[in-house]
Amino acid sequence: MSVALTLLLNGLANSALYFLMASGLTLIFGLLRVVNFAHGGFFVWGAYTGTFLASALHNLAASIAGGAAVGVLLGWLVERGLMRRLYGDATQQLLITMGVLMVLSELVRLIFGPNPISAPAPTSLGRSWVVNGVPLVAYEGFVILFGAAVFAILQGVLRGTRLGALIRAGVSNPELLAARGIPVRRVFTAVFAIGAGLAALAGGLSGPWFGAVTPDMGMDMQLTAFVIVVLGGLGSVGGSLLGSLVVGITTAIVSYFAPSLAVLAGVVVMALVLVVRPHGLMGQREVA
Amino acid sequence: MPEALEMRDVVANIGEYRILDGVRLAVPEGSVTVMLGRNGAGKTTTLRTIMGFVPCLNGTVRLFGDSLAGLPPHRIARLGVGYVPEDANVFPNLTVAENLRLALPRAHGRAQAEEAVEQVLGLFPDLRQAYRRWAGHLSGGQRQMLAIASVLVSQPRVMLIDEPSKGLSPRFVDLLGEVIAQLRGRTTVLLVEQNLRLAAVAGERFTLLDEGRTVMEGPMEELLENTALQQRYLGVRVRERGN
Ligand SMILES: Nc1ncnc2c1ncn2[C@@H]1O[C@H](COP(=O)(O)OP(=O)(O)O)[C@@H](O)[C@H]1O
Ligand SMILES: [Mg+2]
Repeated sequence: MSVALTLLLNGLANSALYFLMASGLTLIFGLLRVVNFAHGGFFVWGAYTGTFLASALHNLAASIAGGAAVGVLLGWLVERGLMRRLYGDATQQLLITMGVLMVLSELVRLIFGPNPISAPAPTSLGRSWVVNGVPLVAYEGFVILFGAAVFAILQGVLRGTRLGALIRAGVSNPELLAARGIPVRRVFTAVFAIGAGLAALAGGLSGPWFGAVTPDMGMDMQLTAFVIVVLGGLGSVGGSLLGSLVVGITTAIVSYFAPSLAVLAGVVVMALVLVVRPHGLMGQREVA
Repeated sequence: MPEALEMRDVVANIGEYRILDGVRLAVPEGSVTVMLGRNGAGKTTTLRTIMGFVPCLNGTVRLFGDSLAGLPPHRIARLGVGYVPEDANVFPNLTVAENLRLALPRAHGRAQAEEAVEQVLGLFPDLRQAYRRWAGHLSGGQRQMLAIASVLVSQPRVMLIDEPSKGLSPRFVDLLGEVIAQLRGRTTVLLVEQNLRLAAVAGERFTLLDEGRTVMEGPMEELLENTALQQRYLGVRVRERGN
């Protein structure tokens, strides 16, 4: 019983990080019809910025916010500088985002070296307790709550604000949005930058969660997030939450019993779901 | 006095295919002009060319005398061209209220926005009842009304409406006729309509398209009197046993 609870909490923390990645990825796909591989690059930059700032400032809020800000800036630059030039050519955009992922990962390797850099949790969240045989880790709880808060805020923005209505409208029919006088590309830029910020936020939180940051962590996270977005249904934020929960908890369980199969587990779950529901858990039939 | 909308010798491709080759059109301000032509004649492509979704390779498109050449769709919309596409003309994952407000520029004050929406709801009582519902849950007829209403709130100078009666029940076709009749005087309308009965009720002028070019324009009566023309270009059968 206590093992089950431990794995559940562990899985929920995984899910929270995955959700931060996947929600931006799914919205970007919904609007631009492009799987944004650069997302992993924003993640790794958020992780290194966060770790660097944490060791310099010893302030959790500042280091996480700094990482997110770097993500937003990078996202803005990539969208305005690269994606926009290839507007309407999804294949080229896909290739460009892969290139951005590699360049951003290599830059990190160049600056910080190829070896893992340790990223301890801040002392304020380093505590843990054992309650009825279940170890409770403060940082784990923090990550779970953080993920839940981001989900709530995202839902609030999507349902309750004009920007949210524009994003939902753009996901459903960008051409009609343009016909209503909305400069759709500005919505694209905003969503791309917000998504990049969320990815970097996930990166910033991931350092202390995994205990270390590595230049390749963006690639790994990219694969998992991609699995989740496909699993949940491309373009659906609710679906990406569901997908994150499924993959996050599955990963926690599989890594407990068979650590070497953890990454494979997500892919297998995705394949099984797609057999039953080809458009993902919450995907719409008319994605294209 | 320039026409509200004018096209001359318009040429447009989709991919490598020449789809429009010699479209000419004049929509006088305040009128309802109906565009007819059989399936595949190029009516939808003509509207999409006006909106800037399809580039105009040759010829001119003018709005009250000003060229629309090279402008992106959202700029053309902001110049006062409202477009109601043939399909997918509302956002199903937005509520009726959200659909109606989307086109209102942010510069519009809240009070002004409410007033614009209120005015349009006066024309569409059905939508007032469905105000909080998802647009995707509306019936086909209601959806068509919402599509027209969402464009009308921003008070366009010219409205392009593509086959609004397609797939609607006779009751809604009649309702549509009334709505379009009420648009007359408020704005200028270019209506694509294959339903000759609705076209006759709604429009005072017609323009006839065939194989991507304009073959005839004139007052609606000319078309209604000319059954040979109808048969040749619209494939309308003369009914044997009344209606
Ligand atoms: N995306 C497309 N690709 C290739 N041909 C197209 C495309 N869209 C329309 N067409 C062709 O252009 C012609 C005009 O189409 P359209 O403007 O939709 O006609 P209408 O609205 O009068 O029925 C048709 O022959 C159609 O097959
Ligand atoms: Mg058509």
